[in-house]
Amino acid sequence: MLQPAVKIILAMGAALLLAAAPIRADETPTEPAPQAREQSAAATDLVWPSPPLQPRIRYLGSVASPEDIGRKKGFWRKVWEFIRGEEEDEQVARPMAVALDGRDRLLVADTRRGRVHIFDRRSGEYSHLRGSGMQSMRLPIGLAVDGGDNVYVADGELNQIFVFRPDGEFDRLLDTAAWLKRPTALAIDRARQRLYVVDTPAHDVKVVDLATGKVQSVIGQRGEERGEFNFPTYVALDRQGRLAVTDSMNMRIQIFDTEGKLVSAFGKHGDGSGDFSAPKGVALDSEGHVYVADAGFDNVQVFDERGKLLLFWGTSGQEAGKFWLPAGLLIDAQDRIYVADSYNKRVQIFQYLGDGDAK
Amino acid sequence: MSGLRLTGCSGGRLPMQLALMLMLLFALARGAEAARDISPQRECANCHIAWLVDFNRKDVTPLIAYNPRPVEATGKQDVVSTDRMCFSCHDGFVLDSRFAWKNRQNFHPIGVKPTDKVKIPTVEGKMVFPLNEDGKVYCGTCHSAHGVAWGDKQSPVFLRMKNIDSGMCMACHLERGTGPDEGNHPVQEKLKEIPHALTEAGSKFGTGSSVICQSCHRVHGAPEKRLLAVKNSNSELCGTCHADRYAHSPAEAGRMGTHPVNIRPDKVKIPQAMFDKGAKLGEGGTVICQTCHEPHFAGAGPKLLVAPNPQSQLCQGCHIEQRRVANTKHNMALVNESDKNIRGQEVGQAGVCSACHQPHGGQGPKMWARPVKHGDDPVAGLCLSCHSEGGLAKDKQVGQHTHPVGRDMSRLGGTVELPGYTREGIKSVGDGKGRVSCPSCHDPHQWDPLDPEKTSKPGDEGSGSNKFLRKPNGPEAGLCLTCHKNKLGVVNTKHDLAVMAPAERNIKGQTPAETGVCASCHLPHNGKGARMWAREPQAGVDPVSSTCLSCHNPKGLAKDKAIGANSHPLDVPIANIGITAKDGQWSAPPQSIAQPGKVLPLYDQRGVPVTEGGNVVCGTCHDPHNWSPLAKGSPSGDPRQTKGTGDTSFLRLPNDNKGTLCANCHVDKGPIALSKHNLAISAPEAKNTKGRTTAETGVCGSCHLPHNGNGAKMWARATGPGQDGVEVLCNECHRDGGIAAKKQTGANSHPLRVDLKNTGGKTTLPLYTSEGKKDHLNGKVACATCHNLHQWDAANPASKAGAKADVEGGAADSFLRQPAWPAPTLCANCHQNKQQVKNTDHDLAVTAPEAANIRGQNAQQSGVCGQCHMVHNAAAKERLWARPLGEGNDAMERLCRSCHAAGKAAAAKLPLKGSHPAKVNVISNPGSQRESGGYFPVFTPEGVRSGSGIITCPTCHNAHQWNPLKAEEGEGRNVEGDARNSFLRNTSDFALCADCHGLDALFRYKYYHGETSRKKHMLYR
Repeated sequence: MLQPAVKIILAMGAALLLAAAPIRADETPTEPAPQAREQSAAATDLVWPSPPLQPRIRYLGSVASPEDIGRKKGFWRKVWEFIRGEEEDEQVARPMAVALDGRDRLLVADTRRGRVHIFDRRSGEYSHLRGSGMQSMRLPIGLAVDGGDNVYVADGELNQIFVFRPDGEFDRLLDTAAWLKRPTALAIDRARQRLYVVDTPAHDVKVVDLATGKVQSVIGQRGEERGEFNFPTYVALDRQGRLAVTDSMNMRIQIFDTEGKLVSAFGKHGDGSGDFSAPKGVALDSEGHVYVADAGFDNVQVFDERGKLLLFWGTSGQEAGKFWLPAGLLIDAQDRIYVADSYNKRVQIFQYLGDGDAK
Repeated sequence: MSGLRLTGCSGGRLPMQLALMLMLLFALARGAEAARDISPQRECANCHIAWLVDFNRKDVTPLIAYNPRPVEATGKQDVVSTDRMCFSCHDGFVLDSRFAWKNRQNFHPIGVKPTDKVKIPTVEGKMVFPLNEDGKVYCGTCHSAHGVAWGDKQSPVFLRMKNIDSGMCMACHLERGTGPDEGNHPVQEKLKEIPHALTEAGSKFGTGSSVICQSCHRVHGAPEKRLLAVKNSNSELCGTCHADRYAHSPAEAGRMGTHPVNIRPDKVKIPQAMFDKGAKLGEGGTVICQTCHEPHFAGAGPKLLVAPNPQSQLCQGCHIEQRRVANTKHNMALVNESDKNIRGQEVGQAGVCSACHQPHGGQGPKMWARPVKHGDDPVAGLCLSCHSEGGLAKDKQVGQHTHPVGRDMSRLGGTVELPGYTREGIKSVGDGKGRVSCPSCHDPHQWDPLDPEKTSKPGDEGSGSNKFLRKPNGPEAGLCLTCHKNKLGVVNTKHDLAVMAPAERNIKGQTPAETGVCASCHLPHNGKGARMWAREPQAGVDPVSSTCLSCHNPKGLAKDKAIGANSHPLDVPIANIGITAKDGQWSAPPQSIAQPGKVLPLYDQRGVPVTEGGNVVCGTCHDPHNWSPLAKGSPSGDPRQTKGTGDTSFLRLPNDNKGTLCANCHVDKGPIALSKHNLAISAPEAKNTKGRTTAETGVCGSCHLPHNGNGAKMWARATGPGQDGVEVLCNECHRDGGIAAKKQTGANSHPLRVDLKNTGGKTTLPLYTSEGKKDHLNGKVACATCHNLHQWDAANPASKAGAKADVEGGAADSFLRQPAWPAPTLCANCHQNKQQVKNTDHDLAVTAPEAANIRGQNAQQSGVCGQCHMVHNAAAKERLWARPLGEGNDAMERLCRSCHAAGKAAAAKLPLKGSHPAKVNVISNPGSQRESGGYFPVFTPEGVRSGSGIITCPTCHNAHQWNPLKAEEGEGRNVEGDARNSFLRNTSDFALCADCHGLDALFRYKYYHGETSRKKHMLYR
C-alpha cells in the first residue's frame, strides 16, 4: 500500500537542504487546478522540492477572508458591515483546524473569532457557525463532518461538542458530561459511523458511536510506552480508517488500526529534519504518506508510514509557502493539503503532485 | 533566615501577611535552587531543545539554529521564554492559556522600572523577583518555569512563588495590602457572600472567601484599566461587593439611606483640593465611590477617604451651602454634645454633619443618622426624630394640628417656588412634583432666610423671619402665600381680621398686625383644631365647621353672622341626597332630571378633604378666602360696611334666583321647579321671611334659608297651625287664608303623628320627629311621610303636569312620594295587609269602573284605595269613607251598604238579612288569634273596633282579601264567591260560623242568607 512512497524518496543531503527554499517552477501544472481563484492569487508557482528535482508539492493559494474565494461586496453590504462591524469577524484570525464538507466547502475553526468560517469556493459565499441560541462557541478547536454533512465542532473552553446541521443551524450538543475532560481534535470515520474525540488532558482518544453518542472504546492512556499518550492533540484518518494521532509531548506520531491496535509509532524530539520539535496537525494522503505540521520548525514533514522522512517544506515566515506556528492539517480526496497557518491568519493550500515521473 | 531582608515591609504592621510571605519565600529559595540543574531530560528539553543530547546532529538538516549562550544563574528567563515557545503548547491544544493575553493592554506592566511604591524583597542581596538587565520588570520577574511545583493547584504554575491569598502580589506591593488603617482596601477580610459578577469576571478569593488582591485585580487579561476585573469608571466594581451603598439613582440612594452616586454634582461644588488629593469623577462627571474614597493609599484613615473628615470637614468641602448649620441650633453639638447618632457616635465627636447624616447606612432618606419617626411623610419623619416627644427638640414639636405633609405639590396647581420632596427625599422645585414636607418651608441648614450668616443657639426664640424658614413669614405672610396664592383673596374681606378685628388675638396672643392675615386664623404648627386653627374651635361639630363656628356663634367674633338653630345640616354624608363624588366627578341617580354641577369640597370625619364620598361641612359651600364666587381677588371698599348677598358671602357658587348653589347638589329637589310648589307659579307675589319673592330668591329660597331658618328644614316662611314640625310648615300655605287655602285636608283626614311602633306597622317612608327632623327610628307619620313636596309625579320627575296653580292631582301624582295608582304602592307601604284588595270584587276598577267617589273620581283618578277611602276631606270620619254612606244599623254596615244596596254598585250582592242581630253583644279580643285567622273583630255602633261590641259586616268579612287563605290580589274579574272566599275572614265550610254558633251554624247561616233554604228546612216550615 505504502510502497509507492518509497519511490519518491529524495536524495538525502543536498536535496533536502535545497528543499527548504522553494523556487519558481517553470512549467504550469498539467492537471487543472480545482481552485482557479486560489491559483490566481498565487503570484508565483511554488513547488517542492526545487528543480531540478521532480516537484511533489505545489502551492495553490491561501484563504484568509471571504474575498479570497471571490466574494464581491456591493456598496450597501460594505456599509452594512461597517455599521455592524462584521467585516473583521469574517477575517480568519487564529485557524486551528480545517475540514471540508460534502459540497467541498472549506470549514475553518477559528479560536480567536470563536466561530467556524465556512468558505464556499464554488459559489463564492461566506457563512459561519457561531454556536447555539443560548451559547456562543468560545474555543472552536476541532472539526469533523459526517456523511450527512453535519458539522461537529469541539470547543476546548466550554468542553462541549457542538453539532450543526448541513444548513448551518445548531442541532445539539453531544452529551459528553460523563466522559469528556477537554476535547481537541475530532475525526469521523464515515464507513464505521465513528467519531474520534481527542481528550487531551485525559491523554486518550475516545471512540464514539455516531448513532448512539456513546463511547465505544478508548484508545490509550498517559504514558511513554507504545500505544500510550502524553497530551495527544491532533488526529487524522486514512482511507482505510486507520487513525494517526499526534502524541505531542511524547514527540511522536502513533497510527492505530480500526480495532484500536497500534500499527506504527515514530518520531523523536530533536532539531533535525525528521525530528519533532512541536508536532501539530497530522494528515494522510491518498498514498498513505503521513504529513506532520511542526510549530517548532514551522514546516510540514512528510513521512512514510514507518516514519521515514520523505520530504519537508516550509520555514518561518509570512510569505506564501512559509508558516508561523502551523496547526491543523487536512488532505482531501484530490490530495490537496490544507494547512491551518495559525499565526499567519490563513489556510494555505498545496497540491500533492503524486508519485511518478511525469513531472 | 537570618540573611533574609525584606525591603518592602515597613515592619510590624501586618504580622499575618508577613508570616505568610516569609514562609513562601523560604519555600521558594529551596525549590528554585533545585530546579536550576541543567537536564537533558525530556521535560526540560521541551523548551530547552538545545539541551537535547543529540541536538545539532550532522546527519540531518538542522532546523533550529544552534546559538549557545552561557548559562548563568541570574534568575532571569530569556533563553527560551519566547512567544513561540509558550504557544507551541499553550494554543488551546495541550493547554489553553489565552486568557492571559486576551487584553494585552491590561496586564501587569513590563518593561518599566518599579516605582518607589513597589518594594521587591531580597534574599541574600538578590531580588527574589528579578528585574531584567535594564532594571525593568519583565515576564521573568514573576514567572519562572522552575518556581512552584506544577501539580500544586493552589497556585498558578510558573510563578516564582506560590500566590496563595495574593501573597506573592503583596510581596512587592506590600504597601497596598496593609489594610484600612494605612488607607488601603482591606484584604483577607471574609466576605459573607462572593458576588457572582466577580467570579464570572475571573476574580479570585482567598481562604474562607476572603478578599485578596486578585478579587479586584487580574494580573493578565484584565478587561479594565488598573488590571481591574470589572469596569470601575463609575464604581461598578466597588458596587459589586458594596451593593448596599451603590445606588443607581438618587431615589434609590434615598431608599438605601446612602450617599448618592451616579449623579452629577450639580448642586454642590467639589473643591479642587479634593481632586488634588485623588478624588475622581465618573463618566459624565458623576459622583462615584472614588470621589470620596481611594482603594489604595487613601489620604485619610480607615474609611479610605481621600481627605480626613474630622468634624465633617470632608462633607463640608462639597456641601458648602449646608456648612452654616454649624452656627445654628441645628448643630446638635450645641444642643447636647453627648447625644448619640445611630452609630453610637457622640454628636460632639461625630461632627456637625455626621450628627444627622451618615454617608452610608442611614435610616431613611437623606442618609439620616437618627431614629426616624414614621408617619405621613418619610422626609418629615427625619425632622420628627428630634421634634417629637422624647426627642432632642421635644419643646419644639408641631402638635396634632399642624401643616399637612405628604400631600402632592401638584394639588396647588401651577409652579411653586418652594420645594417638594419624593418619598426618597429627592427635592424638586417649581415643577409641581414631589410632596409637601417640612423642608418645603424650612431649610434646616440656615437659620435666617435673609441672612445666611445669622447664627442661632439653643434657647433662642425664633420669629416669622427666621426659624430656618426658606422665606420670611412676617405680617405680609409671604411664606404662606408662596403656595396658597388662591387664599390671597381673603385680604380686605370680612375674614381679614386685620380690618375687622384688629385687636383680636389668636391663641398665641398675637394680633393680626403682628402675625399677618393668615396667622390670625391658622398656625403652621400647634393649631387648636383642624385647619391648623389659631383660634378656639367650636366644640360639638365636625372639625372643619368647628373652625368657622369658632367665630360664627352667638358669642363669637361673628355673632351677628351666626347660623342659627335651623341651619343647613353639617357633617352629613353627601350620599344622603343621592349623589356621590369621586375623583372630581359627581355621580347621580340615573332618573335625575338634573345633573350635579361643580364638585364642591367634601371632608372626612377628621376634617381632611376627600376625593371620594365625604361629608358636607361649612367649607363645602363657603370658601372663606374668597368673598365672591364671581370675582376672585380682594374686594375693594370697607368690608365692615359690605352687605353679603347671594353672589358674595364667601360662597363657592352664587346663591342666585336660578338656585345655582342649592341645585348644584340637590338634584333630587329639582322637579319642584316644574310644580305648583314653585311659588313662582302658584304665588309669585308671596314673600319669604326676608321679604323676598321667588323671583328674587329662586325657587329654593322661597321656602328655605341656608342659615337662621324659621323652623325645621331651614324654613324661610312663617309657620302655620299644626302640632308637629312638618305640619306647621305645610300649614303655612295649606290653611285658611294661606296661599294654598283651597288645598286643605279637611276634618276627616289621614291621622298625623301616628307612631308605627304602637300599631305594629312598618314603612320605608320617612318619619319625622315633632321638631320636623327626619328620623326613621323615632319619627312619626307627618305630611312629608306621604308627600314629597319637591316632585309632583312620583313616577316621572320630569312631569310638568303639576306646573299650574289650579291643577287637580290624582292618585298618581299630587306630590305623593309613591304612586297610589295603578297599584296602591303608597298606601300599601304602611297598610301592607290591605293591598290584596286589588283586582278583587272590591276593586271598583274591576266591578264598577263607572263608579265615582264623593269627589267624582273614578278608580283611575282615585286609586284603588281612593274609591272607598279618602285621605283628606273624607265623607266620614270612619275609615275616611269616600262614598256616600248607605243605610245600616251601625257605622260599619253603613259603609258596606254604600255599595251593597239597591241601586248601588253592588246591588247584586245583597244578603237578605244583612245584619247580625244587633242585640248580640259579644266579647272578642284579638289576642294571639289575630294572625292565625281565628279573630273576628267586633265594633261599637260608631264603627270603632272594640273588645266587646256588636257583630257587623267586617266581623266576618275582611273587605280587602278575597280568600282568607291566600293573601294575594284578585283575578281581575267579577267572580262568584263561595264559603271558602267571598272576603270571609275564615273559610266558612266549618270554622267561621261554628266558632260562635256551634255545629248548627250552617242552618243559621242559611236562615240568614238564603230564603229557599230557610223555607225548605222543616224547622221553619
